[in-house]
Amino acid sequence: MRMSSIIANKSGIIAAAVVALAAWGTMLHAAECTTGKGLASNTVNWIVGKGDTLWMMAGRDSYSLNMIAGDEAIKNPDDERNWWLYSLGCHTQGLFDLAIGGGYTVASFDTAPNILWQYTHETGRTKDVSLSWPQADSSYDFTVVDLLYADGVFFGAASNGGLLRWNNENNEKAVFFPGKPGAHVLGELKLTDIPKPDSMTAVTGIETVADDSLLLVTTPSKLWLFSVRDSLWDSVSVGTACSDPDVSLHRFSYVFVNRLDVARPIYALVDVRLASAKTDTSYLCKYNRREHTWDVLLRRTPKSMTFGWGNILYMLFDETLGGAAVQNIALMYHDLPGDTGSIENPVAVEDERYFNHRMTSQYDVDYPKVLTDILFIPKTDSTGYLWIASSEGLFFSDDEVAGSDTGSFLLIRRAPSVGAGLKTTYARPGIITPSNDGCVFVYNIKKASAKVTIRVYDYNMELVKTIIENRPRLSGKNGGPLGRSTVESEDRWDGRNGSGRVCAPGIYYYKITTDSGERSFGKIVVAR
Amino acid sequence: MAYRFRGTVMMIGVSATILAASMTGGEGGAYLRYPSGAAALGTAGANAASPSYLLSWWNPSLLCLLEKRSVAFGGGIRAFGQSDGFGALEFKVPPRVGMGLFLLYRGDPFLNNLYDENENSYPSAAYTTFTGKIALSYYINRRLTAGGSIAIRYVSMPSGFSDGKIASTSTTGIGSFDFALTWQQSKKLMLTAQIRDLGATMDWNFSSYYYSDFNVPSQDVIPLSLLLGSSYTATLLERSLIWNTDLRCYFPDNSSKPARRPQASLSSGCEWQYRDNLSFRLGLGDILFNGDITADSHTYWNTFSFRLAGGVSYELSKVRKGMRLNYGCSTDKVWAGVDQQVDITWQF
Repeated sequence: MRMSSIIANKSGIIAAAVVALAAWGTMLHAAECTTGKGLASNTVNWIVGKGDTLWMMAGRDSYSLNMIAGDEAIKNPDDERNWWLYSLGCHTQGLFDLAIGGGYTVASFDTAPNILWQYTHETGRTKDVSLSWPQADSSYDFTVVDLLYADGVFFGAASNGGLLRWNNENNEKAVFFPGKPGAHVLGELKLTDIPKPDSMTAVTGIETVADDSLLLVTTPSKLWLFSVRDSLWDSVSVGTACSDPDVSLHRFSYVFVNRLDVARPIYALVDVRLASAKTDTSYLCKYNRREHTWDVLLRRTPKSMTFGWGNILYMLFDETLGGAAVQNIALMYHDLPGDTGSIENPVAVEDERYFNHRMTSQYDVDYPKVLTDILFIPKTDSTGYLWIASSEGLFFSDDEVAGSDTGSFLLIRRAPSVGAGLKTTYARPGIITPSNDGCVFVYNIKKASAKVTIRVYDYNMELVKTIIENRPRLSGKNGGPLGRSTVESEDRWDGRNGSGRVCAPGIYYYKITTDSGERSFGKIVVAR
Repeated sequence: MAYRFRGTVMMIGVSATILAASMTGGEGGAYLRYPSGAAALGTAGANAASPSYLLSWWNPSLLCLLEKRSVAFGGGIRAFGQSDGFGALEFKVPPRVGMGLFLLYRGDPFLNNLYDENENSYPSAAYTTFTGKIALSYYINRRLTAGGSIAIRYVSMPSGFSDGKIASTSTTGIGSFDFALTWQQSKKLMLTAQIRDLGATMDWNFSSYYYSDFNVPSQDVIPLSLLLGSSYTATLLERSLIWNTDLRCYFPDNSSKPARRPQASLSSGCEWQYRDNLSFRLGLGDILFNGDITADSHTYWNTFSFRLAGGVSYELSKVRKGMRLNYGCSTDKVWAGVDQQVDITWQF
């Protein structure tokens, strides 16, 4: 289940992950899909996980899937050898969702015709499975926007194609349309069998309720229950009434069930219309089973959300508040248990400063420019894995106690080994463009510790800026972050000279020296 | 001896006091500041008042004093792999006019250590510039000559990582001007004043690959610079000694307002004619003077740099009359290696 991108899509937030997906979706790749080990990119767009398995999609210009699985591997997630890598070069369109179950992982792609992609955990083999939808005009959308594994088979929310069921063991594919009896074999489905395209009846999400035998299926206008065992539909007795008389619910964007709470409370991201406004806005609501109404839980739109133990809600926001740009925020809310007594606009128990400190203190890195996804996976009855995806890598807390504010995150990022003695140095990235804030100098000194000076010069070797001067640094073998000597929060250049002026486009050179006599030179391009 | 150098010393002192320009590092047109020609490199870039060739680049006002047509071509390589290639054709149009054409390639064809944000190494890229100048000179009287040139510039450079490759962006700037006046105080002393790179801008349009549907415009303003140069001819061990000094001041944003940290660059070098067909050159150049000398002397001396240069010139009369071979070398100011240039000139 991938909440973040769906939330972002439906709410209209231009999140980095979605932009990246969209950009990728328009690109034609001539490259092949390849498999290997390691991490290909530190720009993590979204994450999906279950138990001790985590998948992430990463990249900006080209994309890849990474997976880590197993108790042993997840103990050392910063070891790149524990990550399985699948480059998505052969897929010409975007990846929508990914589900894990039965020893398989299945992903849906927005290709024409749609395909499902399957990875077999035991063998490591992959294959594409074509979904042969009937020929239809562009008003029909058969994109599988949500995937789920339940009761031994995979289910997909196939937009105008209804609810897709795929048994990957025998390749049986069937579709069901909300409220309509019977199943249609996908290969025999005719266009006349499909209800006329309607954005309010398209299937946009699926969740399991209580156990795997019952699915909560979302259409914008209504929620449905689907019995997996007997393939029967039942209209959920969940209305659209709101406890706030000034708010009317317009459409469901996505529905979540908190399976960590025995009462299985239902949350929904809902487009609502205020009495005082003519346009919709998106709120996070919680269903009150006793009153049969929706309570407004949060008058904000999270771009990603996950449940922790103890009715903790971890959320990411990327929005503008009070006229000031507020971005890149991770918040932790404490909700009341069950599906009653929800608090409107609950106070965040901890804010971004809490995450900021935990994520950055150990590595002395800057807080990521963009947070893209957050995921809590239960580990014991009170702890779990907390993953935060960002533009700078993946942050991981392997023993997260919900509500706790202690413990550092492990930063998982592609960090190739760097030769000691300044034998290998480079700027990351080597080209400063409008898309980045500058570069970080990657180096590794030979002595256990030394004082380092970094200076940048222009083409004529005029001094542009002294980045650091005589700052103490450790070698990678003696405790330097990520096995290097680089302190990312300091060893960076923003493309400005010593007076703060933006440097002219051109080639620049850097010089790294230590008080122990090591030195190295390198090149940087400023193209902005 | 003191009398002989009085004019030069006075000019330097007065200029350094009254002229102001801000920090030069990171300003536009840095690639244009490096000396062109082995003779100029051999004197550490002090060459403006009496260049023996490449007048279109160094001092277009002297073109009208040419006695013969001149052709020059050559190239060089620097410590980091930066490369030069240049050529010029210059001639006099009697009785008072001189003309010249100059073309300079300058770039770094070895940008082979670039990494993307995920620390993937990219194998090849190049920074390429071409600068062309068309120069004209006019003989006003026996002491004063004037000249100017118009420049065309082309720059191509890496601008992003896209789909596993390095993408490049290029731009062309047309129409910047240099103006020069040269005053011959005596047979021994020449003085020149030049305004360089007037109106020089390069308009860029860099792609933002993250948000791939729009480009980001950027205007690269090459600062206006004022150059004052002197050339004094003396004797050393009964041989001719030409001592050149150049002082350059840069005006960011093409504004002549004094900046917070006044800065000027001084180069000085000499050419000693050991034999009729053999000359040696020596120079000390790119010495920066700025407000840090008094305001922050620790920083000033901690980052102090200069160029130490030398060169030789040998007449190739056995090959062809009027042909000379010039070689120049220099330290690179950051002690990474040695810069070298070699060229051939032919006057006919």
